[in-house]
Amino acid sequence: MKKDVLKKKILVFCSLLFFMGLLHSCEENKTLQSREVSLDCLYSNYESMLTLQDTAKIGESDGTFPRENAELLQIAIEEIELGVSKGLAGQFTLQYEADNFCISAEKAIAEFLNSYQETLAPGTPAELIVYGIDGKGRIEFGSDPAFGGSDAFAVEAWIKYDENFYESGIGDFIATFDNSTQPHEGWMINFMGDNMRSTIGMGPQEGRVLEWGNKYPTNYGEWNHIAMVYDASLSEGQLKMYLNGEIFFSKTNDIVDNAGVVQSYQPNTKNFNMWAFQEPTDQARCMTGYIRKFRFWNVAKTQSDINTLMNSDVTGSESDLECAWDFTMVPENDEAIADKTGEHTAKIVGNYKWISL
Amino acid sequence: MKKCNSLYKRVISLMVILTCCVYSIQVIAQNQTEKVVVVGKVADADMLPIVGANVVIESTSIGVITDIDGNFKIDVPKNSVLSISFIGYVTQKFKISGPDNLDVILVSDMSELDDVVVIGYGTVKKKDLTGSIESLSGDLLVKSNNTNITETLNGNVSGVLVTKSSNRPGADMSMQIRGVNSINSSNEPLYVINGVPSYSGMKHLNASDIESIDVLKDASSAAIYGSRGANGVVIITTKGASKKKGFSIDYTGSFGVKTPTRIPDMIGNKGNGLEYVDYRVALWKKKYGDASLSRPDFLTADEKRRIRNGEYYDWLREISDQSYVTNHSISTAGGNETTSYSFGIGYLNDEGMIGKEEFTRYTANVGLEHRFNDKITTGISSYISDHKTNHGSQDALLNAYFLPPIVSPYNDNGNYEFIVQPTSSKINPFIQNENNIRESKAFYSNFSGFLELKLIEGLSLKSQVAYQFDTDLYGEWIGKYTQQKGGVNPSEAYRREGRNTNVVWDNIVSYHKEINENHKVDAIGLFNMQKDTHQGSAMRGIGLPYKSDWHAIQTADEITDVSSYYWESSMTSYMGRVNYTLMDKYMMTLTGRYDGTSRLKGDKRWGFLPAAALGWQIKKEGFMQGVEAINKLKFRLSYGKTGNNNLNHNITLTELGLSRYTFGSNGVNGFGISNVLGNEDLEWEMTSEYNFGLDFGLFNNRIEGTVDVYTRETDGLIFNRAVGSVNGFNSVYQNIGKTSNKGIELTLNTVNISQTNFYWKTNFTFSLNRNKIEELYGDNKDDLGNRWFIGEPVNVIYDLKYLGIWQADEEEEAGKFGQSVGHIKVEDVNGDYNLDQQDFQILGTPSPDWTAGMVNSFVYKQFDFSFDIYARVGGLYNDSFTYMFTAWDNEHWNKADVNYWTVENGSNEYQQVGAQSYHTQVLSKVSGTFVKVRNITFGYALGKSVLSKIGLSKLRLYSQVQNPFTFTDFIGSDPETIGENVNTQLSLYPMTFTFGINANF
Repeated sequence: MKKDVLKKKILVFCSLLFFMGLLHSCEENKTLQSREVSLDCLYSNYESMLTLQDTAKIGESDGTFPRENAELLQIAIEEIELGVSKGLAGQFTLQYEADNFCISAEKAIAEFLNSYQETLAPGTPAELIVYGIDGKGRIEFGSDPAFGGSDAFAVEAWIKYDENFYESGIGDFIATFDNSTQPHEGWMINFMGDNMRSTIGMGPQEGRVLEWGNKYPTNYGEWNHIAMVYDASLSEGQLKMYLNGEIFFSKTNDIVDNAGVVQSYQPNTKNFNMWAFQEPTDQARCMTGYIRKFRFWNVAKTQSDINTLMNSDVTGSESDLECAWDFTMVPENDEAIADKTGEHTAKIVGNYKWISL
Repeated sequence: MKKCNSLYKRVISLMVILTCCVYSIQVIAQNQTEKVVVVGKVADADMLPIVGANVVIESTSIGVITDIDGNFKIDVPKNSVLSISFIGYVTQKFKISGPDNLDVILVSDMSELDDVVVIGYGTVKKKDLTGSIESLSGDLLVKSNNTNITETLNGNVSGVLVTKSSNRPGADMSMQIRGVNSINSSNEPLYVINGVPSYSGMKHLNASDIESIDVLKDASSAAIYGSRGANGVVIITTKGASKKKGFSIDYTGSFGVKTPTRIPDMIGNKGNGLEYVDYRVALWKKKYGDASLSRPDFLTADEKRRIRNGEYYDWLREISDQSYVTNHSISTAGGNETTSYSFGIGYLNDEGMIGKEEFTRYTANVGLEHRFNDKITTGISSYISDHKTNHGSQDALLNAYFLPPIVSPYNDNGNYEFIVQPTSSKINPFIQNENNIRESKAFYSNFSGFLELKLIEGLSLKSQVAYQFDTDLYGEWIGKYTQQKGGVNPSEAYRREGRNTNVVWDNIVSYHKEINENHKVDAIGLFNMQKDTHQGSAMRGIGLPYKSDWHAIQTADEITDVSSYYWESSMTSYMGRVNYTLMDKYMMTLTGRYDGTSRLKGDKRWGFLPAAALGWQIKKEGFMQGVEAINKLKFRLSYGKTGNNNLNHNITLTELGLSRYTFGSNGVNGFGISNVLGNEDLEWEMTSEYNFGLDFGLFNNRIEGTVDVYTRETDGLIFNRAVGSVNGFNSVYQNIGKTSNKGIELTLNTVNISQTNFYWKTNFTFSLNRNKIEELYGDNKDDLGNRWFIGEPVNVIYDLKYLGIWQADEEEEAGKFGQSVGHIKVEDVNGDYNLDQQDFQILGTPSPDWTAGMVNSFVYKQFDFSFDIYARVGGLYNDSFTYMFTAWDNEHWNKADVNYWTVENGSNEYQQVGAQSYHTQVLSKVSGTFVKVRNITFGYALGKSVLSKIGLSKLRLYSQVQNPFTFTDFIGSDPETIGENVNTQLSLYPMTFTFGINANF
């Protein structure tokens, strides 16, 4: 009898142990299945490219497409044929793999269309588009220590872009920025995600930048006046950005080193380069867009100044004006465009186009 | 998951139902008729017979006591009530309606068990206590089974908040009693271990060696330690020699299996790698555009191959493993009329769940007391603890969180690869575990000896010398193939050691006098001297030729960061305390301590710290005699002043600062005045506190409790105040500012069911504290730079207020802030559509609004069952883990699987992935609220018949699970470690299944 009681007690004891073990045994189990991959966009782009190939007039004169671009189009057609073959062979696991071929095809089509030849005479009123995506075009403003700025400077420009004007990370508009060594140096007006931003290198602690932004304007195809102003003498809001004369953001320098010491702006001291549509050192940071006017001031402009400037021209003799370019008419030489101060020369490199107004 | 939720709900429902029954006690009327015979046996919860228990017929003087086997026999009038009681146990009553055979289990009454409370330099009966002191028994510490006994105080002692730095074995814990007093100095209480005051904590102590822990919470109680009592005092008494006759051996042993629980849900874990790929596609498309998916670094060839083959790696579950906790303690005690002794040794090994994490502790405890005659007693005691902590590598677990499931730790040969993801900086955490070693070796010892003379009746002189010696050695090895060195930079070794001594000489005169039955006086006087020394050194070697861990720094290419130090401090004290009790109803305690410390200068080094306390046993007043429902009612009122001596030793000194200059190929040391100006006029930060307490017992003490309400102010805070580079100094120490803490504490012990074979009791604690800065610099201005605000808690979270996520129908409004749909929405306080520091506001404080603990214990025949619930409600914390894994959008790393905003899912919790939202720092502010079932224990005590056959007097087997349920919104593992350092301390949350034995020979 006593043995039975003992057995019962042991049974109860073990049951509770089992209950405690149960507490650990519940685990979520969820698994996604593999997906169907659609090849529709591959077929449609393939059709478009074949049509383009069949109808485009190839030549060297205005009204034709260059042979070089026709060859690039042929390469793109072969590429998308490869994509279709892979798709049919079931080599795509996820949709993005097919989409990648489609995106490349769409870019190839756009690039081919952009190559349409139309020569404008120097002095013709026009606007400039630089195809900076994939690092294929840029404006080089030269190398000058003055471009780096100091404790106070202002950058202003007119910019226009269409949808998908940049891809793959940071889209650089104008910059002297250099992050190839430490500390980061120079300044940059750039785009990332949904934002238009200003970025300036800070130091002496390594790896520091003062960077802020806001959602970029989505009035695609329309001009916007933008200005970046840095003024280290202020107690707050040292870095500001203006959009069409209105404050876009105001950012206080809260960048500190490991000991909590506030960091200061580090001008570019290495290559002194200033480029547009592609960052001088990290050349993967690029974008496609239009530029109308660009000015660099070695003082911090106020909002009132900005409003005046965006509605007026400069002569080049203004004090504190370091450089100024107007890209409003076709120049004599795209590789030597003098600025208004007469001190600097710009060069347009790679893919770009002057479009008649 | 549904299965789990359902189980949780059922268990919670069960607990709620059980808890609701607590107060459903009914009183049954009684009649008396003819006599019947009642026999029975009285035992404790461990089924050991209770000898000498009183078995009395209620409302009469008729009764018997139990014999050596706990048996009794008594004739009882029919329908009368039989009361069975014993000191330290809850009285049980039985209505007798006929002849009966009772098996009675008396369960220790925690409050009565603490009948004698340690109050510093003496003890007092709890009924005569005038201050706010709570005690924990060694038994509870053992039952809780925590490696670090500090943790057991959470929820078991009201007013105490223990914060864990991590769940890694051997991790440090900090304790606050009644909130934060000091802004710049330590808020850690004073620990007094066997009479030696120190700040060394309790990590080195073995629960089995502890007799009791007494927490002195109010200033009148802590005033006995004067200038060191401002943050409260924790008195730890280890098991020493007692006058016990005979010989006994106790063994406590357990073996536990630890397994990680609440592993944070990362995207694509548990083999669901496609979920991660979807996330990465969405992130890259949003962040870099659709075309970015064709970049070669979007997915490497290996990653694409694994996706194609469905090869996914669950890093967290692979890098973590089950581990074991082993604990053995054996102690002996015995003695005769003249000599008594005790000896105990302990071993604990607590393995971590990641890499080589481990904590191993050896302890030894010796006590010897000899009584030459009635007048002279002498004794010695010693406690030794040696422990080693392998802290585990830094960054390994962090990397396991970051690395996505489409990355594998192995190369084609099946060996570990150092660079597992060529597109990311995160290296293989398995290799990190091998090549980054961080260890501590610590030794703690204290030795004390005393001589006590009882010169005349009631008067005794006691002189005790105690010596504490502890060392701490830390070493670190950072191999070339680690996250820190990147496989490129040379290896590094670091070694740091410290040695501390502490000598305390106490001379105590005690006087006890009772004049007739109405006057009782207990007085003590103390003369105390203490000196502590601290010395240590450190060095670092860079570029070691072979893997020598941290033991051959001399072989390094470069030896740097060489340093050494020595400092000492001392204190002399005079203290007096008088306890006077009038008519066993009115109590008064007066305490005064006069301390002098070497850490301050001139006449500022001496200070007098007085305290006074009154107690009133209302229940003993005539007008309360008829109130049968109330068995105990006592008011307490106290006031006291205490100081904070836990200051830097050199705070009054202006030191020379060392600078190293290089001239040619030579280095030269230069000295100049340091940038901190010492202040010889500094005084102690002084805390004054009022405490009002109420102790009560209801319904035959079935409901017992204590309520304390307190208000304390700490004045003359020592600030390192910036002075703007005047005369070469950047800052100066000054006594300025004032803080306050106000709060309520409740302790409730109830006996819910007390029947012949079944017993259920509940212990409940509740703590609420409100902390505030009353003054700062005397100009009524806040210190924005340090985030100190008058009228607000010392520590606040000051930032933008998170409102949610901008939704599709708010696009226009979002645009006014330069924000997009899917971005984080914060409050624009001043309405200027510019979100900056002007919009910052105080969002909360990293301190709970209130905490509560509840332990339910059940005994059914020889079975016992208990569960322990701990709740911490409120508080806002900065948590790096949450921030990193919800805010960061690194294109190659993984992220927490939470409710992100998407076009289809308008979540209001987390922003769209890849959206480059600003103000993401608001995501790091997380609520500290949680409720935990910390411990469920089920035990069985063998009966006497079995025990007698195997020669034991007690044997209890138990199984236990720790941390079985946790309810919280925290996305990390353990809400108790919110804010842990993600690089050095990040840990997983263990659930531990333990099987243990308590045996007595």
